[in-house]
Amino acid sequence: MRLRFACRPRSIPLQPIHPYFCYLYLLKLHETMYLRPFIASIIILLALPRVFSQNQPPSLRTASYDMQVRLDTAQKKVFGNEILYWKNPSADTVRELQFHLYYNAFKNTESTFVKEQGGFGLFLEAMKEHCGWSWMDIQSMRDEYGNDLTQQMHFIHPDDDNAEDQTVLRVPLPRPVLPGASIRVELEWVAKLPRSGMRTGYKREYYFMAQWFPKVGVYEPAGTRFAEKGQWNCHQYHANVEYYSDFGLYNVAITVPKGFVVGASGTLMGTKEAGDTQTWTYQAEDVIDFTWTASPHFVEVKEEYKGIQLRLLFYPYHLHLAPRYLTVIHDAIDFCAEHFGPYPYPGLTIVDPPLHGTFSSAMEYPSIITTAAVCVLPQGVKTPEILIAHEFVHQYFGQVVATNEQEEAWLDEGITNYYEARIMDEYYGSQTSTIDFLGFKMGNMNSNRADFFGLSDPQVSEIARTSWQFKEASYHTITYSKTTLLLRTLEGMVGTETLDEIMRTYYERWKFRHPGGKDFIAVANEVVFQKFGPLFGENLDWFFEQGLYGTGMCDYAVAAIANTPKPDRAGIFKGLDHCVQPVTDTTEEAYHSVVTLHRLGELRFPLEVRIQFEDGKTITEQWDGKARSKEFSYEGTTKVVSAEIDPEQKIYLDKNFLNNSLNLEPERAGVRQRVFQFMLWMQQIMQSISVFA
Amino acid sequence: MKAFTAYLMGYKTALRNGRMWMALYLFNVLFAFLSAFPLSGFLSKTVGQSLAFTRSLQGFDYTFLRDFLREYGQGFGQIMDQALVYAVLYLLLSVLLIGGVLAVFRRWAEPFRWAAFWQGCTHFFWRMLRLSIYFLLLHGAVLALFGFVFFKMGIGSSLLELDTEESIIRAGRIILPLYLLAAVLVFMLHDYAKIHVVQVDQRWLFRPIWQAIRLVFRNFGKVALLYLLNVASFLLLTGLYWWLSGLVKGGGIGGIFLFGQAFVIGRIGLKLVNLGSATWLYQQFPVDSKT
Repeated sequence: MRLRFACRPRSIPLQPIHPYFCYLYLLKLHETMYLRPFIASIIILLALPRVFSQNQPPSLRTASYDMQVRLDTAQKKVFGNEILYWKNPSADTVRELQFHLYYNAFKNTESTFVKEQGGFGLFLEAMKEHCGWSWMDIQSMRDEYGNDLTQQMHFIHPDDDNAEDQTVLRVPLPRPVLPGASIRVELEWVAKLPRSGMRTGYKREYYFMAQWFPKVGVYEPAGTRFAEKGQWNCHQYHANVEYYSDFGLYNVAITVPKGFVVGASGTLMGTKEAGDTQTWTYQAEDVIDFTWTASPHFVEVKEEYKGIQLRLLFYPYHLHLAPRYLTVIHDAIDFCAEHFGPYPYPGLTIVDPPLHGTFSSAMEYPSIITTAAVCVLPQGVKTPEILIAHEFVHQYFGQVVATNEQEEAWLDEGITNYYEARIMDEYYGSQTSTIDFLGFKMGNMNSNRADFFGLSDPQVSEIARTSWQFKEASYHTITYSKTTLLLRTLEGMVGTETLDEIMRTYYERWKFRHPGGKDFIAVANEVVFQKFGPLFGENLDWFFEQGLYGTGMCDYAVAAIANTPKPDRAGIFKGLDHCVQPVTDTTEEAYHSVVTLHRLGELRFPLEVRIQFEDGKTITEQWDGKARSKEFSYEGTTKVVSAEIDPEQKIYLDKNFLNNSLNLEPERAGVRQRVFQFMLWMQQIMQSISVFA
Repeated sequence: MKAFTAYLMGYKTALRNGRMWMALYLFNVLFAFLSAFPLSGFLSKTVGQSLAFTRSLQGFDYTFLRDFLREYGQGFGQIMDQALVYAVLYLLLSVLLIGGVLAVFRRWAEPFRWAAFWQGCTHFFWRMLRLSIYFLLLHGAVLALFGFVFFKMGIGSSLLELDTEESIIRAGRIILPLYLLAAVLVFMLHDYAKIHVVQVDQRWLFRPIWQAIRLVFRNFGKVALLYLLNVASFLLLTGLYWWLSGLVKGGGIGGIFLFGQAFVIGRIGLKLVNLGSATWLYQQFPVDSKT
């Protein structure tokens, strides 16, 4: 066995071996028993500095890149020299690499992406019209031993039989990568940029470069997420999916025409001018991706907030929106720092694309996010605030807790969406955080509920589904909104504090790693059991089984309230000869009151029921919510006047809040009020249209 | 000065015909009541016993609204459809009544008589209806024209190809006021066409329409000033309503309803003022300018 501890990326500072790799070597050394004590000692010695080091990187840095790229604005191409340093994170011998070539998704109408997109809509028309198709061509690829890998590389389609799809490249390695070992691969490539493709490309002088370079897939060791044995996880580019990649260190030198302003992931290390060009050098540590943007029209707003370098890039006519952006980003930074931990990167760039750059809006990448706005956006329409809050939370869930967005999108989009709603509702008001304009008010959590139940068929798909398998355009609503409602329901059950503790623990435990859904559920089970013991059962699997893996609906209703005068006590009780005659109590009438509740949906959650009596007394009952029908009975001198299931709306997945309560007496004054209002509106409308008479 | 005198005469005319004013208001109340009445039973049956409904009365409640529309949208939709039918019927009724109003105003110095009013309604109905249709088509054409210019100026060939949204806003800033002016002009022409048709009482319409247009343009300063005064009165009344409606909220639904009724009565009154003042002004123009 050849140990290659000495193999270090050229540009990566020499660091002690990560204990995880040492562990892998120890596993593999069981065959060489006679060497074991000796080699194990060396490994431990090598690992020790790492264990005690203060400067150890937080991630494994499995895939690091050195890149020198040149943007040719005339040809709309990027020319790249790339060195990939890839570490084998598994106990397997890896005999091939797999790369994402995302730009080939926009090569023609036959790619899986375009086919799934259903014709690509207006973007396709624009691409057809201007021949804005894109491609990525790897001109050479060599390993560190000088082997030419170009001849053997070929496209594969692991997800479908689409032979025309060229978004995944398989590269067999003449010299395999041993467990824990590294390989250095040098690539030369050219990418033709898509004209306003999905999330990336160019339009006029605006360039947004996302998923723009040959990016290695993720090799998942056995036991990672769904992997039963070590395997590449490198899906084709699908219409509904985003990304999944490994952590690494990126050193990227970007050469653009002089006068362009560049924004990118990571930290700007310096700029250098040469002739008509300028090179911007960035370094991004422990990130899963590298994204950049360039335009000669960008104006910058810079600010330091709690040690984070904030950089806002605008087109000039959006500059007046800067205070709105800064306010929300401050709120989001504070909220996330309090609930999960400090922001993990030194800086954050917020890009506000121009109208013709809308294709790149509303996206998150490591330490760079995009928003969307128009210059006359009313203060009460919170679209940019929502986007910034959302994309910022993604820095935690998606970028640092690097889940697989292709296979389990709910883990980042759903959790992020839930916290977006929490942030927005906390800082902008729970009834006004999405829209507060001309009397129309809508809160963020409310809008998620409206989105989900507004689906033509909310049961079309479960949450835990591979992204590209969602049908009937339900991906977004199910992944984002239903997950938000599910987490809101969990919050209602266990309390806000406990839910935040679950998230904090999950973040802390899985930051800079790749957890799956089962890992999140394990954390939730652990935290809830620690806090409540068996109050919710042995674990919360029943909860997630229903919410994540099922499509059932939740609907509880108060079916009836009956107050029956209690009959007088009469008959034979003690002695067989003694007949008790009915005795009417004229002072107080007694009632037998029954409240009947129904479970109309399939989902079952424990809930509270509030019963109100005529004398003002209120009782709160607990119901496990399992039976199809449940009755609460009362005997006394006062009637039940109203009953309400889940009065605090903790079970946010309940599809109809209107039937959750029943008042014995109809709200006649309220009905009159609404009828009068309606009548007044009709009078105004009728009078207005009479101008045409 | 004639425009100001006409404006004052409009008030005088409206006040002199208070019974007609009240009749128009009662028709408005009747149709609105008919359209709103089914809502009472519907709300009582569906959400009248829900505590969520009681809470929704405190203000705008998006969650309640969405649940209500999702669960009972079909039934509510039927009520809305019915209300739309009543609104169209009201428009037709207004066409009928406008002939009567103008017939009464033709002899503005005479005391109000129901017979003259109803006779005017029936006598001019078909001509008023045709006029309304022509001017509705004209409104549509003006809207389409300005919409087209706005699209070309602001958006061009495609929204996706637009450089910035500033061009849309710039186009809107120019086109919208121009459109409003054009729409107001069409309304004004419509008013004088109606007055002219009633005054000359001709069977065919195109000649009176043309004569009314010529009349307006020959006396544009006076006509426009009078129209401006009437539009300003309407805006003032609306502004007052919005401003004061915040204050009367404390008076409960009864107070809000009564205040709303006062506003509707005011709007109808201003409509009569507009027609009365225009009729008076029309009658001041020399005969040769009307032919």
